[in-house]
Amino acid sequence: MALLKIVVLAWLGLGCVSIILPARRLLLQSSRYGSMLAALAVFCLAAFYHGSSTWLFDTSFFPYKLGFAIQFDPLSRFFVFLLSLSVLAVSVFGQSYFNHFTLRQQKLIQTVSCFFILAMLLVLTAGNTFTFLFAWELMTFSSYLLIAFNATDKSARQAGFLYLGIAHLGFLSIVISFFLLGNMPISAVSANFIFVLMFIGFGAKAGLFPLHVWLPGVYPIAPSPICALMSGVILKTAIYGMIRFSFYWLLPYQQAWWGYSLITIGLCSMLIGVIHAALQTDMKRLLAYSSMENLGFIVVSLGFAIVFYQYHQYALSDAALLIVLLHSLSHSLFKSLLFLSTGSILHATGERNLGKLGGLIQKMPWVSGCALIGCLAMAGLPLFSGFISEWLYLRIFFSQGMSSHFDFAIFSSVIVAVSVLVFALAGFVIVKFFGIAFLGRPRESHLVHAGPASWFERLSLVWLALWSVFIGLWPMPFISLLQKILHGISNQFALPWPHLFTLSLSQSAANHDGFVPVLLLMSLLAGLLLIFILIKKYSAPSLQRNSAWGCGFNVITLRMQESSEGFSQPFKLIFSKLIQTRLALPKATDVNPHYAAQVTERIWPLFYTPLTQGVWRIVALTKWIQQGKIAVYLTYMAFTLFILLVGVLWL
Amino acid sequence: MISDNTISILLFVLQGLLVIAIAPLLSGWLKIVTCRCQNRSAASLFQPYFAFCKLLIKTPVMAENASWLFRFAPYFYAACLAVLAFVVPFFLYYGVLSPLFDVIVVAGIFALARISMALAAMDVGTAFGSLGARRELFIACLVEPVLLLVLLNLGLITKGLTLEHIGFVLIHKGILYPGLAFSLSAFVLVLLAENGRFPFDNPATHLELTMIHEAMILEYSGRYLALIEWGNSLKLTLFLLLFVNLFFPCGLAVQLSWGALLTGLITTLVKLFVLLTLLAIAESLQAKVRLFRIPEYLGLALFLALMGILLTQLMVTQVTGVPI
Repeated sequence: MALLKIVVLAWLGLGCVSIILPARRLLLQSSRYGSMLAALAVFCLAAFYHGSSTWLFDTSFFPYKLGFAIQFDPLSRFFVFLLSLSVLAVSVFGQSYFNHFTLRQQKLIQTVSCFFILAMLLVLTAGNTFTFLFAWELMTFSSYLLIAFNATDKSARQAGFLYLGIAHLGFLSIVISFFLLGNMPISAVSANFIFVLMFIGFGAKAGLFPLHVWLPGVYPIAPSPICALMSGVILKTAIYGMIRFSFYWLLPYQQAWWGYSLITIGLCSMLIGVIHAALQTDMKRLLAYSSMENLGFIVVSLGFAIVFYQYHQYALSDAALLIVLLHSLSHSLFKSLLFLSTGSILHATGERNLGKLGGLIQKMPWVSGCALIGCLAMAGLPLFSGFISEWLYLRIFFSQGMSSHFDFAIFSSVIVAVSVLVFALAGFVIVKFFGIAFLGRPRESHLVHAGPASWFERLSLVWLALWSVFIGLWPMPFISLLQKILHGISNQFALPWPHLFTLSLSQSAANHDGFVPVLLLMSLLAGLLLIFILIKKYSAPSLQRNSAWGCGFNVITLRMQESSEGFSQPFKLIFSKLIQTRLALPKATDVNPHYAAQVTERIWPLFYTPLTQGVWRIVALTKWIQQGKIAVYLTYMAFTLFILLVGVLWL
Repeated sequence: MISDNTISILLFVLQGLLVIAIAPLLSGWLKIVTCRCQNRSAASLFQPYFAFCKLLIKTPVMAENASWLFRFAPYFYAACLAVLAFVVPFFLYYGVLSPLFDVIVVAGIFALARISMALAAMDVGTAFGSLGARRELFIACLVEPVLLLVLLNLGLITKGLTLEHIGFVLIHKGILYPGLAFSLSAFVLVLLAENGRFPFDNPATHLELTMIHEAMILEYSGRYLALIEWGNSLKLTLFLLLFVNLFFPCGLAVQLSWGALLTGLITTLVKLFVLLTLLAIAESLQAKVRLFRIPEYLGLALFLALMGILLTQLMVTQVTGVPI
């Protein structure tokens, strides 16, 4: 417990010290080294501390029940571990990243991000409602500051404001659900209320459909390391909250329709997220939509866990929860990795638009290698971390003994069809992201001067990439760790994992019905080696370099390559019903004809615009109350006093 | 079940090597029948092997800005498909690696192979490469779910996800499942689309308006091109083998006797050549569709695959006799 105290106090101290200290380069740098050490301490805490206990920090100046309490049980420990991997990478990355900001801005970033990390740590280890809500609000505000400190143009400020608005809508729902949970005897009806409010609250934070609209606006304006923390960890705190509510506090009152609603919302998020990710031109927006897709996947798995639990399929429910936790971990790793590599790209080129990049594999070999690993993990390809969760997910669908639930049997086939479509589209998304940013030739002339990333940046990217590969090849240590957590939730969760290297959902050790990632790697390597030796032996030894084929022309210009809009053109056509496209076509008389297409979400004209218009209409109706004259307001006051007096006399 | 001993393992390895070895032969046969159908004289059956040798001894020419990814991708593509050659059934009812890699992993390895080629196509940065990659992925994104759904349907019917288990159950309980009919029609479309055949792609063209797969590999030459060509015919072979041995498994060897092995080899080869002939005739009779009509076909395939799974689920719930 002492270690947890030290870690929390270290971040608090770092934040406070950063406020006080003047903005000098040397001081900032030492503060950054401090945060790197503190991040390492968090990692050690999560990796080596096994106990589970509660630490109450009573404050006499707060009323009763409003003291801070910290607890550290296995679930918290896992999420703190997830946090620590990203925080460590980000703090190493941040050593050299923020130098292009002014010193005042650097000081702001350093201070606020200390409080931001402290808030995330407290959310994940909160021992009572007050601590959780306090930390949640601190997390929202500090992340808002980090996003909006540099927002100079109107659209950026609007995006930040939208984030703050939706986050507070969610906060309100969470507060109400905590209130209902703590102050009322829970019945089936109130449990339903709590669930719905909790789902709205955490869904807003997780960026689930239809409350995801803040997500794509916020990421492009925030600095990349902050994006990495937001996508890697903040979204997971919402998942943490959902698990706490639905599997710890409300477990006796759980109902199957909760699972169905989670699955439906999750599926919508997956589909909308991946389609829009395929159509983006801004690399950070693309990753933001892809986060939405992954969070949708996690929520669908959580829904499956609830449905299976209600249908008494405990082994499957166990496996579904396992996917929730494992994919949270692997998503936080590869998404942090990709956001950090966009940071390196931005640093080297100053471009956020995919269509202006290209050829970076030559300039930044380390970054491109790590980003390739992150991309392959994101697409859920074998050998990388995303595939493990996909494999378990399809396995669950397959091995269900759900024939007694007819509606579920039918529903699940549709779910699987949509999910595999989304997995395939995710493959397209990564080819677009990696292929356009890193491959090809530089699309703009100033990209020639792009240099390699600094050693700190490389180190943090390699750190995250190694974890992604490790989980993809040998997930068993993580699975057995997670299985212990799940066993703590319910005694029913006792799925055996008898093998050291084999992933298998079947109960018996003898059944050859599993997947061995290491064996796949070895057979691929053996195949590669054999082919390489044979080709080397029998083919011409030399290699001639020449310019690429010019299609019959003398020169091929850099602009002849596919643009990022062009690359996703087919999907714009197929999914035209699900998106909103605004075309600006050139006229025949234009001197400098320019074609522009802007893809936005259907949800704006279908839901949000009518909503805001409705609000404005109500405002217009009630506007006459505000007359702007002091006499009127005095009349209001007198009137209110009269009503209150009448009320007092009456009762 | 086949017992584990040295001879059986050798036979299994031989099976995989044979799949790799005969792949160009099947491409050659396809070309011969196509030529005959179109009233042209055909090249030899072994022409793909000659072409391979020719490409192998030529010095490859590579674009100046090609990175390590461009050089590495053909090897990786060929290795992925070569691993799969040891998974699919050929004359025995399962491949040596199929107990280890279930159908989800098989679909994953296909995806890995495809994505490595698509990335390599974008590496040089010519207009053709990325155009090909875009079109290939556009089709693949719609094909991959269908492939997975068809394989999952087979798994649902047989209650096991490895090709070994699926093959075993299908051979021993040769009952007709109605869900399989839908899966079969979906798989035909997958087979055509995934291998760049008519009506999705014309494998013989180099016209920029229509080409898909050829556009991706336009920058390759020499040994790299040789590997890719071999890989392509291997991919076609793998899909054909999956098709004939999963949907028409009769004749496959289930025990190790010379008679059974010989029957298995001959029946599979006959099935393959008949299927290829049908494929060639079908290709000669129809025109390639416009690129943007392709989603309609593949949407149909997705729908058929979904129908197959739904029907299977329906049958399972009905058969177990639980009231709806």
